[in-house]
Amino acid sequence: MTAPQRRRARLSQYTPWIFRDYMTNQGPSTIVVVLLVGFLSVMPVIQGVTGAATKMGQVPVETARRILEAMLPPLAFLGTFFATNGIIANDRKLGYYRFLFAKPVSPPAYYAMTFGVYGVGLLLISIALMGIWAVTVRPMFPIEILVIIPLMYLAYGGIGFLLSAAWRFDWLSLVTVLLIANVAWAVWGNAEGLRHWILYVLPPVHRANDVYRLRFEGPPGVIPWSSIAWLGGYGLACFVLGMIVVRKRSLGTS
Amino acid sequence: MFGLAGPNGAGKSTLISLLLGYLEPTDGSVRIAGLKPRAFVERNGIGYLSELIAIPPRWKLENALERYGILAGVPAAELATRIAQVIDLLGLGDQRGKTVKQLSKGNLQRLGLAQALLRDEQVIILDEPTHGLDPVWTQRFRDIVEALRRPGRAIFIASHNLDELQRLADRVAIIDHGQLQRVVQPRGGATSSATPYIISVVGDDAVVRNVFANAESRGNGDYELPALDLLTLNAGVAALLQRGVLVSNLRPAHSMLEQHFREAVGE
Repeated sequence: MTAPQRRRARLSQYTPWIFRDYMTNQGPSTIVVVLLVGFLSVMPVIQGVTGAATKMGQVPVETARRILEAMLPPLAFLGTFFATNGIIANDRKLGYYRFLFAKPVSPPAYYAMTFGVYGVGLLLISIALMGIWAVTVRPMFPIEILVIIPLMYLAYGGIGFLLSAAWRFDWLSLVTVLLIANVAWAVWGNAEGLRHWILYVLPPVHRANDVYRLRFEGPPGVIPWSSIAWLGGYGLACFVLGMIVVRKRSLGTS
Repeated sequence: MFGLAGPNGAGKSTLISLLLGYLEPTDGSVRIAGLKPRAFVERNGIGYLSELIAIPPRWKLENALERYGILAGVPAAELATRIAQVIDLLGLGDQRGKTVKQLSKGNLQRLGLAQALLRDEQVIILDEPTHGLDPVWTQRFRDIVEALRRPGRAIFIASHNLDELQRLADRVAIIDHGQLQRVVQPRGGATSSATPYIISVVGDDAVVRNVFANAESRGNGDYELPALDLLTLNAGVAALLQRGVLVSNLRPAHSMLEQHFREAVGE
């Protein structure tokens, strides 16, 4: 048998379908959970539990900024968690890979595109949530969110991508890894010797707050370049490792 | 057209996973047109119908075909026509708006076959293709697969259904315990070795038993004859006719493939 004329998948034209998958599956979950967290954060302020009662849409700027700072970590983490949960492992577990990758499709290219499109989806969902925020809490649009969400998506999502490529219990292991990293950095943050070096293998979660503290509607602060580089670099390294795992690990194993 | 037969657990699906590059061989190597399976698939694609039809349940049938068509590399200008053709070919017209989870087992199987036929593939692999199909669609499937024959195309069918392989395949590999037992040409002509037969007659039971001493009655004038060579069989039939017994049907008790299968896997 001779090799036929080469014919590739039209992956770029498949992008809208992946975007649609995000917007009908992970997107709504992110919106519902973040709105719930937002409601629980904002309502005490509106009702005057934390001081004088205030009206919807007219929350004082400093209060709105503080609430937004408090809401950003759940948005970044949960949004990324929903987006990358099962991003690769589900196709293996549920057997969807069988038809997908009998087509002239490179699995690393397919999943890299999915990761990227889901990231764009999360960013758009975040912008939409900011729109809801502007209407219901206070008219403001913190431009920093356009940096923070993609950065934290890369940081956490890169880890999620690697774990999803490596085995089936990706969500559980992502939560476990981040929990261990948080505890380890809190306990051994100033340790020396072996513990000190072990810490550097774990995700740099202790730097996340530097990024979340980028000023909203306030005086410009110092940009935490080191934390941005550390978080982004760690996530990118995990993503690249994940791509290698996708290429090397047999699709038929879950 | 190449068939693959074997009992449960023989390794049919594993072999197919190796051909698609979904599993790596622990020993030996697999090549398709000189390329490693993943390299071949990612370059050209394979028309593949898996035994387990796994498609996200919320996808609509027509959307699923559009997605698979894009991934298969069907040119945008041809995609709608191609989808309409496979929907028509597989009789899925009235199902096109349904989600995958709303489809019956048979319709899901037809969707699986439809997505495998979206592109004019050089290699087609069908794993238990008539599983879940009713008799009408089983026959229709055979016609569709027959029509896929063309020079330079390899069609690979794994099936438990030996009758299906007997009708469709030019060669059939019988495997067991992960080992190739033999390769058979199922339509290679009558065997010269002794074979059991089923004979249907109208006439005296005692005459049949007299001519074929070890014939076992199956009722309604059917008898299973012990393994006979062709000469003995024909002499017996002539004796029956001479003594006024009419023969309405005579066939091997097992197809040639079935016989090979029984010998190869020891059943």
